[in-house]
This record gives sequence, C-alpha cells and structure tokens, in this order.
Amino acid sequence: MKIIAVFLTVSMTMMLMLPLTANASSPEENFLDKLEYDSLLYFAGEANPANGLIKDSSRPGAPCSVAAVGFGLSALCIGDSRGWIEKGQAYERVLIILKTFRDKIPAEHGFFYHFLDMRTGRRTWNSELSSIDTALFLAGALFAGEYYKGTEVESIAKEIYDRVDWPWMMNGRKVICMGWLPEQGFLPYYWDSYSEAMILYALAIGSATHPIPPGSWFEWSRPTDAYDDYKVIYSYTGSLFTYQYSHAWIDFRNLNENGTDTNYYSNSVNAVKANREFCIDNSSRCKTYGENSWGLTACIGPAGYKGYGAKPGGGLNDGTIAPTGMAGSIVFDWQDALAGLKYLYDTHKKFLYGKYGFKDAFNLDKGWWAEEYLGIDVGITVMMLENYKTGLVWNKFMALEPVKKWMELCFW
Amino acid sequence: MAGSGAYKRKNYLINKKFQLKYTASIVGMLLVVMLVSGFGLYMGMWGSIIENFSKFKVSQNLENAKRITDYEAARYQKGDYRLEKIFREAELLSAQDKETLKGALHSVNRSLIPKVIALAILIFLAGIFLSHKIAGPMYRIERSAAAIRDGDLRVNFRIRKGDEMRSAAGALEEMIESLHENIKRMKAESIALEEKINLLTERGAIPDEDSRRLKEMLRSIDSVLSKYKT
Repeated sequence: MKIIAVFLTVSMTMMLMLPLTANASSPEENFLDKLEYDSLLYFAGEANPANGLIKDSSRPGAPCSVAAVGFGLSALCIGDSRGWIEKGQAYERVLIILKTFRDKIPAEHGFFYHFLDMRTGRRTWNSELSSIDTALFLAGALFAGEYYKGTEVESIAKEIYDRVDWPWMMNGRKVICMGWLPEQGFLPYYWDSYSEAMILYALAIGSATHPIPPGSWFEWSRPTDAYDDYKVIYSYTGSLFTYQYSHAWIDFRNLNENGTDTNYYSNSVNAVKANREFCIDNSSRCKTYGENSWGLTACIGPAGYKGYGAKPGGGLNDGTIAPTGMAGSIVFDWQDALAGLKYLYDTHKKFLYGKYGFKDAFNLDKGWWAEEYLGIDVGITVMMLENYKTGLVWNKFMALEPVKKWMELCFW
Repeated sequence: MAGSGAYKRKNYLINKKFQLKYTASIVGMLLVVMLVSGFGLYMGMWGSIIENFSKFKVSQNLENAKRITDYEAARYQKGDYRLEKIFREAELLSAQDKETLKGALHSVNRSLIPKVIALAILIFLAGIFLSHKIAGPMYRIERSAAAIRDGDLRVNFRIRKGDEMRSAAGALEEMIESLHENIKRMKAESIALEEKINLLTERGAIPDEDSRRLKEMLRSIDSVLSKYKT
C-alpha cells in the first residue's frame, strides 16, 4: 500500500512538473495558467502520500491543516479537469484522503480538529475542534464528490458530511461556535458577524441529516460601512480572505438574500475595490502598496501571521502584501487583479515567485520576503483562478442538493 | 501433642545439585526477559527523545507554537499582548512535549509487547521441556509403585538418559531386586517347610492335629506369597 502511495506521488509530481502545453491564446491567460499550475503543485509536494494529509505550510515540521486539505481536494479535481494530473491518479489521491478522514482522523460529532499530525492524523498542537476548518474541508470533499459523481468518492464524501452534527456546534445558541476543546468545552467565540463563515452556514443549513435552523443564516450581524464610496458589509478585520473563501465554492452572483436583497458577490466586489483604494491611499506611507500592489489579507508578515485588512474593518496593516489577496479577488475585479499579479511577477519574481507560485507575502518597507507558502493561500489562488477561467468549481458545487436546499431557504 | 515444629523442614537444599540447576534455569530465563524488555524500552524511549528533542525539532516546534498562537490571535481577535502570547506558546509547547513523550511510550510499547509475548511463549516451551525431565521419571515411578502394590515384582525403575531422579530410580530398582530375591527365597523355604512337616507327620514326630495346623499356617503364608509375581 505504501509503495503504491509513493508511486502515485512520484508520478503525480512528475506529471505536474511537465511544462504546460500552450493551449491558452493570450500571454495573460498563459500567465494565469502558469500561476494556477504552479500553485497546484503545492498539493502534490506538501502532502503525505500514505494518507493524503496536506501541510498547513511549506515550512518543515508544519502540521496538517484540515482547511488546506479541503482546498487540496478541490485543487486535485481542478488538476484532473485541466489534464495536469492523470485522471486515475487524481482520483486515487482524492480517495485516499477521503478514506483517511472517514476511517482514521479523530472526530467529535463529525467535526475535525484544526491541526493534525501529518504522519498519524492525530490531533496535534492541542488544536481545537474547528467548525470553519471542518466546513472548508467538507466543501472540498463535496465538490470532489460531485466532480467524481457516481463513484466511491461521492459516497464517502456524503458519508463524512452526513455524520456532522451541526446543531451540536451551536451550543444551544442561535449562531455557530468557532470551536470546542476536549479540555474545556466550547470556545467563547462564535461566528456571529459577517466573515468567511458563510460556507459554514450554507453546509449546516443544507444538511439532510443534522441541519441547523434556516433562521440561523439571519442571526449573524451584517455591519455596514463604506470606504471611498464603496459600501461594504464588512468583516471585523477587513481581510480580503473573508470576502473570498465562501466564494471559492459558492457562486453568489445570482443570489439575493431573502429579506435584505443583499448580493454577496457584489459585496465582495466592493470590498475588493475598497481594499485596493485603501492601499493606493496609503502608498505614500508604505512602499509595498500601489495600484498594482494591493490586497490586504491575513498572511505571514515580518512579525508572524497577522489578520491584515483594510477599511472598512480593522484595517491592520504594516506594509505587507500577500499576492493571494489579488489572486483570490480575480473573480470580483479581474482587470485590477490580473494587472497586479502580472506586475508582482514581472517586478518581484526573483524574491517573490517560487516552486509553488507566489510566496505568501512581502514587505518592501522592511525588506522582508516570505520564504514559505501557506496551503490555504495557495488553495484560494488555484480555486479562484479556475472559477475565473472556467467556473468549474462553482458549476459543480451549486448542483449539490445541500447547496440547493440552503439557497431555497435563504435566497431568491 | 508432639511439638508443632516436629516435622518442619530446616534444610531447604535437600538435593543441592538438582535444586541449584533448576533455580539457575529459571533465574537465567527471567534475566533474559528483563534484559530484552529493559533494552528495548531504554533504546526506544531514548531514541525517540533524541529524535524529537533535537535542536532542529525543538526549533520547528517553537516555530509551530508561535504560528499557532498567531492564528488564534488573528481568528479570535485577541490583542497582540506579548506576555499572553508567550504563555500561550509555552502552554502549546508543553502540551506538544507531553504528546511527543506519550507517542514515544506508545510506540515503544507496541514494539515491546510482541517481543515479550514471544519470550513468554519461549519460556513456556522451555518450562514444558525442562519439567518433562522430572515429570517423566515421576510418572514412571508412580506406575511402577502401583504395580508393586498390586504384587507384580517384574517391573523396573529404569529411566532415560538425561532424565532427572536417576539416583532415586536406582535405589528403587535395587529395592525391587532385593524384594524379588527375598520373595523367591521365601517361596522356596515354604515348599521345603511343607515337605519337612509331611516327613515329621509320617514319622509320628508331630501329632496330626499340630501337623494340620502347621499346614494351614503354611497355606496362609503361601497365599500371601502367591500374590507376588516373580
């Protein structure tokens, strides 16, 4: 079994390292394909072939992140659809991952711990049972199930999803708790305001086995503010990833919220534009910022991982920019995102671009360049570039029964 | 009442050579088990500690602890309070170290348990082998003694080379031979005595009544002697 797993990894990696054939017509398309392809390599290179677990970061000794696995599942299917990974190999890897999560990874009420040991799959670093990371994993699993419809992948994905006891994670409240620790019980933090947790609520409401009340969708707050005429339902941090993650799987373009008529796709468009304007407005203070270098989002910075963001929101910033901010925004503002990504590649390729595409972040004021890649940042890059190009993830995900159920209950 | 200590054994080394030989075998086997288990435990634990607490691993763990506290601060919107973060990092490291040691013990146990089971089976088999050298002769002696009790003096106490209790068997063999000879002689004497009684009766030296009683006594002795097959 181990030999087969190693063989799959080696041949998958070799397959991925072959140069792309130039089917794309324009230089911009070629560039985006290259970026997407290189980013996808992360999920082959930073995975354990025996159990499919994917590292949180490319840093040696990093644990597995369950959210990174969710992005990885999606990326593998994307690689399959593009012909970058041989069909059988991608399927086998996805199957290994799902079987690992079904049979070996510890779970409580169907929820998984945030970080796992890469070798054993056991909970590590005292991490919490995480609702959002479980949801991101499940989104990837369900998408993979829909992509490989009619196969064992689909049935296992559904099995893992169906066993999640979503109401339990509400801890008797009207909103979902962020997590639970075996040592102390539920965390004192809840998904009670606009954030990346829309995907979590969608899956929880759409569950056929353990759904939460549809009214929960309307229980989290929607604080509104504006920056530079861009009105935004904003997240606490103002980080771009909060406007991106749910959209990696859910196509909000034609969804208008019951009662409020809010269109969250439009909201993300405004948030992206506000973020860019914020960077431009602060470019005299921070050398990194500019009209082609923007995208304040949570990432590694000179002082560690931070929830960077723009206004409206927390607006924490120190001159650090993560290319994933722009890459993940390509479906919302493709012109500015594409221009920015091209600019970063052309100008800073030497220090900022590596084997898995763009490294996590950089800061010109402090002369700092990240050496590592984060699985979730690389993952959102792959998914949004694919949605921009083909809409593959959106098309498949929106066809799922739980998603349709949620849409019917919360949107018109 | 006879003193309660009248039958209490004072000397425990009754058959010094035999007892010391078997004690040495048992102690030797136990020592082997202890050595293998102890060595396995020591090398397994120590090897794991060296691997998991090397400078590289410690540095990786420090980075991980810091990264995870950063994630928590970003997600739960905690302030960037340095002291609180340091405590949290220390807490994570301590928990991780405990998990590492727990994992090391667990993997050592997993490798030791099959070895100990295998050793236990070997000891069991060795015990069967060693004890059969005593059990065999004991069984033979029991069977032969039962035959003698039933009157068959044709049995022997010969045991195999390598079995224990050879000297006891030898002594019993001599006892049987002696008994065998004595019974044969008594049978012959009984016949001679009857002839003598008949002669004396014919001569009138013994009254008929006395002769009859003497012959009855002889027949009684003969009936006991006839139980012994020689």
